[in-house]
Amino acid sequence: MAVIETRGLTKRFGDVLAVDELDLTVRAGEVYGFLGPNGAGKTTTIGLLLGLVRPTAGSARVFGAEVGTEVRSVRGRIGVLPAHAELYDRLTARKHLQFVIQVKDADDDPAALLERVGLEDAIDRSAGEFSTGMAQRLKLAMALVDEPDLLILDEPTTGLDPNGARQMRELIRRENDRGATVFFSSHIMGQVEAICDRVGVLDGGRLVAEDTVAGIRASATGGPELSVTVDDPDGAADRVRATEGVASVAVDGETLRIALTTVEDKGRAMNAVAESGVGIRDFDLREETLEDAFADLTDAGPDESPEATVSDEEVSAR
Amino acid sequence: MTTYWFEVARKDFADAVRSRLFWALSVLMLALAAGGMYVPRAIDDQPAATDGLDLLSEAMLLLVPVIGLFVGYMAVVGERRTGSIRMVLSLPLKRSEVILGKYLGRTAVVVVPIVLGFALAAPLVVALYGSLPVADYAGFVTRVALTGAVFVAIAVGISGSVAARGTALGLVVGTYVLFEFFWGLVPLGVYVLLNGELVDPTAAPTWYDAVLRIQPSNAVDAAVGGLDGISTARPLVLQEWTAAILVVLWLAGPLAIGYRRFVRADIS
Repeated sequence: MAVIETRGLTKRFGDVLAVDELDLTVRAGEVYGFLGPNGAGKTTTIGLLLGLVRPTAGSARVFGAEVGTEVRSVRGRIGVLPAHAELYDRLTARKHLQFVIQVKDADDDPAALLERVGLEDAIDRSAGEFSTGMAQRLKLAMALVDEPDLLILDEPTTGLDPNGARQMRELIRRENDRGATVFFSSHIMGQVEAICDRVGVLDGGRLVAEDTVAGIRASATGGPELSVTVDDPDGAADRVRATEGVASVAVDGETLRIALTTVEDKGRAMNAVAESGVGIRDFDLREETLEDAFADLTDAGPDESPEATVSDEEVSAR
Repeated sequence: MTTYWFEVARKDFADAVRSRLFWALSVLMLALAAGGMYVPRAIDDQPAATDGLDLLSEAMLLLVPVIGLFVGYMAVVGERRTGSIRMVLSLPLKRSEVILGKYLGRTAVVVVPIVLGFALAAPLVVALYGSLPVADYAGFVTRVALTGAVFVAIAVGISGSVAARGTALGLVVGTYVLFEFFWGLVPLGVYVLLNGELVDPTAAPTWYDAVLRIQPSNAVDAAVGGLDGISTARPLVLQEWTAAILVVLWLAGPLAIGYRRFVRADIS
């Protein structure tokens, strides 16, 4: 079942096309990473999903309902961490949470919510005293009120240190284990790798790729590559080629360039080289990061990255 | 059962109570009430408490609209500026509930200091004059509070209608200048054009008084006067209950316009 479904969703602000014919489907129970550089249209898309922004064309449905018309039933099931939203400086963390709890008619305990985000000591402090990271934690706690069926998190790791970002990922995973569907945006690819079931890459308001993390990585960059310098490359090539997890092998002078399906296949490939009896002089693993894939998808023109999962039609339209 | 607009109002008021503005207003109201009630005692041989109220009336007429407009104009547009409106509108709240809750919260910010200030000044009135003219005193406070509530409605209506703080500020300043300085000039100008002479305030034609009374403070003044009895001998447009209808229109009209524009706005 689709929790979020947009068809031809388009938003134009004057001359600026912020979201361009977006077809997005987020299925129940998945963690969906919505990626794109700053200004790609992620926040506008989230605004469209929540009914904050009206579409110029197309439709956005959440839990099967047209957004904006079913305020109570739809938004009551969603927990949102908005981007670019300041807290109320004079109100304490407790007051912020009480407001959300009351509006959602929930019975959560503010202290317990703050404990989950590591902010329990600040319960009676005013939000005006909070650092960016603390504010982000409080906003997350507000999103968690009433065990939402869908979490929409806009750049949730903004202002968090690496430890905070890790805790955020753990929390997202736990919420997902509980049964929540999670839709979150980020401009940092590395943050989504570990937790996303699927990733959509937005650039210039268009969805330029949508796949699993491994799929995005492979399609955009060719995947990880193991280079092994040996004294007899041809003697080892066939054996390595037949190894599970090896996509292809090329001989480049004394170096075997072994394309791997996933990074985890490196051990098996290395073993195959060793077992073929050739002398190993050196080796190097080029682990294409998702960051590289991201850069390929969003910066390079279609001519430079023909392997990206962009259809011909879309390429000609760009 | 959640009363959605009430939660918005409660949060808004809770936020305001922690601001210096709220307490400054409360102290100002107490100082004005106490000062205004003391002056007749100091300068007059046979002072009456109602003289103090008359004295305060002029000051309040100028001051309370400013306070109402100032307290209200950032209600919605201020939250758009900080982005906190995104958080509010991500909750199961309708935009109508946000406007209504904001209006009630801001009205409380204006009305509570007025009531508080005059209530605390009441014992002083008793000490100065031997007794409190309860009906006059309460009527006066009602008039001032209602004037505040009307101007908050105008300001919140403006706040919901615009996307930028500067626009809202310009509009509330314009509103103040229009109502406090220019409103009387329009019927006066028309009268002079028609009759070639200045109007005699005690013998002005009905239409002249009726136009003057449309102005929000005047409408409130006339409507609250109805608490003492309806002037049935006067023409219909100058009776107190027509003024009460005007007050209701001044409350509901700006809020309705603000809502209609806010509900269509893109919060981006």
